[in-house]
Amino acid sequence: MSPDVSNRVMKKVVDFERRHVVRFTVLFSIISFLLVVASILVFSEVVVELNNRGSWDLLTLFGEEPEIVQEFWKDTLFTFWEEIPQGLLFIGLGLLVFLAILRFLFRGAFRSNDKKMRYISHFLRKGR
Amino acid sequence: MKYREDEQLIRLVQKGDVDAFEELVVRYQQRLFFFVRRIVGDPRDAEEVVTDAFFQLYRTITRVDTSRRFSTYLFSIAKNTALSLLRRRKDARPLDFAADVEADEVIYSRLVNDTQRREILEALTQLTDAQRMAIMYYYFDELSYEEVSDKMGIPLNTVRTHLRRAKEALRGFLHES
Repeated sequence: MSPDVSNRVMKKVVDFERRHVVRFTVLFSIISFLLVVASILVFSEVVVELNNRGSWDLLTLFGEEPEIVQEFWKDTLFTFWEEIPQGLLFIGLGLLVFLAILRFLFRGAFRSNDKKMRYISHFLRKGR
Repeated sequence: MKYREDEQLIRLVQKGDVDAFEELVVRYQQRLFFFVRRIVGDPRDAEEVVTDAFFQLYRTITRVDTSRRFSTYLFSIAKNTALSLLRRRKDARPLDFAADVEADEVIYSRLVNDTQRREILEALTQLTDAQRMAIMYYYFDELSYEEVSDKMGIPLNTVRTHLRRAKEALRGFLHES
């Protein structure tokens, strides 16, 4: 009669996958965190620049009478857009888009890791 | 539970389904153990080799080509792991050992599922009665050389001869198939 090695094998597999999943999750979290922080810093620079230029005052138009808003909203928004430091804005948006692309590209890995974590937690709960 | 083919299970494991891998382990562990034990001798060593072979398989699972016979790949890993163990222990084996191992690998890897087992059974019809009986006792009933000798009432060396010739013949039939 042969011994049942499945438990020993699966324990090695679980240990291996746990390390692998943790490594992946930590790495991806660090990258995501850095990208989000970088985009927040960039957007805050955009806000500071708009503050310095007093560009927010342009938006007070939208508190005016509807007829005035209807007359001037396009010009106001165009002027506001021109006052935004667009380079910084695109960098900030680019960082977030990059993060979204990364998340999309690694969606298979995330699904796979979810399945693995379900098995791992089930395995550990059974105390094997 | 519905029976799933090896290729199906491999594809699931490649997508992260660890349950499917456990199903493969349970399916193959017995035959793999017997195969490895023939090589290394000691049952504890055989357990260790089988465990390592399965783990090695898991780590390389993304490289497994599901269009080819999976059992051959698994038994090849196990054979190499077992031979590495013997080399590390500087275990000298007789000259015909390598041929024996190769024959065992071909036969054991086909004993696992019904379809492949049928190939072996068909090939057995090509053997003489004595060779067929020796093969059945050795591979299907997992008897040792001594036990086969007792069962058949023939000397040990005759058993070895029958098995060697039968393995050579089977290897030829199975490679052709």
